Amino acid sequence: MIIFPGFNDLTCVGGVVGAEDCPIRAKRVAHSQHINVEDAVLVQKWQNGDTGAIEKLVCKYQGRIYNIILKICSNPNDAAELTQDTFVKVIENIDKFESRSGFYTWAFRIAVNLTLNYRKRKATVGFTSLDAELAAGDEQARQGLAAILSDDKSPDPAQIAENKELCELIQKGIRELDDEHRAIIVLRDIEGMDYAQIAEVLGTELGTVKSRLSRARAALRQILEAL
Amino acid sequence: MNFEQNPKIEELLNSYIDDELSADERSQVQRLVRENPTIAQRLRQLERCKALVSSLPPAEPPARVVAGIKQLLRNHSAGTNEPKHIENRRGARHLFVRHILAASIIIGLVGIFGAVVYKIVGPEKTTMPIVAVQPAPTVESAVTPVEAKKAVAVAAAENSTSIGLYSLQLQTADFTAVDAYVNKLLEESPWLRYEATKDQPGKSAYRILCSRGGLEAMMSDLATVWSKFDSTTLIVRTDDVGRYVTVESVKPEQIADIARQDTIDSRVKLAKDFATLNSVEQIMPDEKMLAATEQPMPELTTIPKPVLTSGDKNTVTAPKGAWDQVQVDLNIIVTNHK
Repeated sequence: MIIFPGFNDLTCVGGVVGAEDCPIRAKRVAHSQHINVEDAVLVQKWQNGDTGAIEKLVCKYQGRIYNIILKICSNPNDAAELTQDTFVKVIENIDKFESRSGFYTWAFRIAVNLTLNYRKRKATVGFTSLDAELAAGDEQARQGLAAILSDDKSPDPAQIAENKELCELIQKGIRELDDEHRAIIVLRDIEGMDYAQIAEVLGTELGTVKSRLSRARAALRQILEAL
Repeated sequence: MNFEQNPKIEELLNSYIDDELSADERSQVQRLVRENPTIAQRLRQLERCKALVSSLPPAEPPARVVAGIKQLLRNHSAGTNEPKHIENRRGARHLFVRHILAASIIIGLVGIFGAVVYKIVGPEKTTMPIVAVQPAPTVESAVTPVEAKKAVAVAAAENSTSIGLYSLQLQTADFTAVDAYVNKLLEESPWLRYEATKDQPGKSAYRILCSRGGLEAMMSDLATVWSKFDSTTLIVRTDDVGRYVTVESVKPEQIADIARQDTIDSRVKLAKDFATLNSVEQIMPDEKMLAATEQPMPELTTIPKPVLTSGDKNTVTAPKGAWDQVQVDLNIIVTNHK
């Protein structure tokens, strides 16, 4: 039996029913709490001993988790290690996962916390990523970036994605943000999370997400203009 | 419009482009944008900034990450969770042993450090040489006026507060001449009382009782033959029973300075300072020693002078009449140094 938080309070016509008896309402409630029903089903199966369920979850999220870790920590080797560490923690703690939040935000929360803690430790011992030291972009890319920022040229996502030098410049700008700002920009503009999900992943209030994201974008724009 | 001073508008615009506003709020923002070109421009800037970041291509995880996670899953499927708990317990035991070892090492290091510090700053311990001293004659047994004067001095020494027992060990290759000089010097110094013991060839021991002024005069005379000594060592008694301070390569004026101190503490302190000073001079014989208060000379290595808390000639003011009292009890041992 799949149990969703708050589900036992729901009533359908004819009396108190569980989620499996009222999938439409279950989906609505799950969505309102950022719970992906498919994820919730897989987690429940996993907790009940179906090892195939975890494989599906891992396949679904490993690329996205690696991507956001890489964008935050800026080092492919560190990102690879941290991605594995994230799944180790996910597997170790799945028994403690109580479905109060979605698996998606829970797993991303682990990933972001691991990455930010790793960044703090690295900063404490004075390491800097070699990747972060690379000079990014050539003059043409800089001019293209300046044109987009100065309102002269509309950004074309496809063209930007194909322009390696321009992407490098943008990534360099993101790297120069402080960790808090970088994390929130990555979660919103790269991973596409909504504000409520970001608040859950970062363990903060919705208002803080709004103000921090606003400051992060302003800072990023200043950095990109200065490049 | 300065958006840094209007963070709420900036937040509103960001929420607008992120589709996080209610229908009413969206309408308000759209009206603001229509009416205010500055806000409209800022909105475009934010949209462009967001578009730039969103356009970054996603990075694919390396094959080794995928393989690593698959291996993790295989281990998990194979039921390696149980060994994990055992590993955790082993890990905890291992960590405990490491903590114990680390604590032991730290305690050991602290002990060694403490011993080293004690060795450096603690009172030096040496064995006071045994000197055979004949009993001092009583006043009644003195015959000549000089002897009577000496006997009075001895009696005064025994009854007054003697400033302590010193032992001055002198080694010389020219034993016969130097010992004869010392003998003669003592004989011709009526202001001091002495006993000589010469029961071993090549060794003479003298026990001297005198005032501090008398000691100063004797040291001044001894200074003329000081260069003939290969080794000069002064041993000063401390407050602690069985503990002494040894001053190697001591100079006559240093002995007088030490004897001039009024308390055991100040004598011991000064003796330690001289011991340090002489030790440094021995290590760096070619360097000139300057006091820290003197003008620095850049061409010389300036070694800070040990801080003298007492004993400076200019600062000591002996009570009136102190020089007339018998206050010094000194053993001088002259040995033949072949």
